[in-house]
Amino acid sequence: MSGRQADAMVALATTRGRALTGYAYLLTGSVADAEDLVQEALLKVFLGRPGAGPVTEAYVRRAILNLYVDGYRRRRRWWAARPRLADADTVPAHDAAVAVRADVQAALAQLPRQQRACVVLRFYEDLTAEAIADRLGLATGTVKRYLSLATDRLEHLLGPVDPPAGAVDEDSLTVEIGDGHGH
Amino acid sequence: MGTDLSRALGEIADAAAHAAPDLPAADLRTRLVRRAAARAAAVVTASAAAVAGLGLAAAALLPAGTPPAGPPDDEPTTSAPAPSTTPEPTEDATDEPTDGSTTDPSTDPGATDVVLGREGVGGVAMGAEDPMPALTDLLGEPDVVGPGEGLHCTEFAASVARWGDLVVTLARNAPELATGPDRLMGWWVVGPDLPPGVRTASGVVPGVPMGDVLALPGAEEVFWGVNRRQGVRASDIFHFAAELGPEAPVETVAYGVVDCR
Repeated sequence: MSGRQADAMVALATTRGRALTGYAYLLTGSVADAEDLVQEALLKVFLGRPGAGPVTEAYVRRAILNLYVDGYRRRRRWWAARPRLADADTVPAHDAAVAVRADVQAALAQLPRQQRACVVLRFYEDLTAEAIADRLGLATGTVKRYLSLATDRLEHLLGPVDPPAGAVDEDSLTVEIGDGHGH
Repeated sequence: MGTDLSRALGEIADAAAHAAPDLPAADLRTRLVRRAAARAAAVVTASAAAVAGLGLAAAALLPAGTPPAGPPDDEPTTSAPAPSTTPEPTEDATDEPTDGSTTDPSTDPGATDVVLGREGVGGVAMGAEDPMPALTDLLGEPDVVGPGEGLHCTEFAASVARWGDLVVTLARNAPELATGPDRLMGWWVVGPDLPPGVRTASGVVPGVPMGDVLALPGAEEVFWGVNRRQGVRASDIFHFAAELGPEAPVETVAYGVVDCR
């Protein structure tokens, strides 16, 4: 492990840590879990790429997603000795959009993790079903089924859901360290 | 007009980003360096064990000049030496055991070689009552203590204590222990970030290829674990791999008194 890699990880954690935590929060629904997930993703990415070129924020986001989908919750039950503080780390909201956000968070929590991941990628990252399939290593048809099931469930809980505005090529999400922007 | 899910998700993520504290950059750096070192040592160790095979003394696997990994574990499946980060064992001892548990005599946390095996955690025996004082003597103050779970296929209220990537399970009401005090029920190693001096009896830690584990003596019994994860059960230790295949890295090394057998 080179000091340069460690420096790069620290730089990414410092400049983009909060944004990455926000992204992870969409998946976990818990700030504490999101922080843990981001830290594990950073360690995983930088351990896996010693001296193999720059690590981008997109790699970390992908690792966050993969860790989450690949049983992060289950593994976390084993590791996490964190005393549970009931709902203490959900994010409060303070304005007129509170109700909507609270409802959306509650609805997301009802989805299985694969469906939840698909919803985040479709509606937050604006990826196409094909790009989501590529990201998750699933068949496109499977992704469409997950999205359909998830949308049905969300509409049952939230009422009609607007379709996503558009879809982007996932490569455009790749952000070099230090560029300082993301979604 | 329906719910603008894209907008809501963006706002939720932004709110979480603002609510979240800064990531502990210095701690992350330390963990990265420690994991990299532990991984490198583990790969060397497990590979050497796989090549050497059954019956080769652990000392023969160590590079010249490397001190012994510590007191030998008498388990028949033990074959691999500890990662090279294992410090030399200390002869320092006290003679004050703690509350019914068999304790390691050292009072200097981290200075003693602590073997994780079927017998217990270091000198703290499986089944020992109220083991936390002894474990704290042995390992230092835990990072966290709280409710948790034990091995799969059991449903018992457990407490867990965590030191880095070492999680120790303490049970209050396992089926066999419906009442009574906490007892030491098992341990999990969920990553390479172990406290100083701590090693598994087999020498395997997460990150090494599953093929190396399969080559260890006594590790011939392969089974499907939780969610169809491949596991290897030696006489005492479970090794979980991420997926099937010898190239899959070991995820977890564990032992528990209560399991699915």
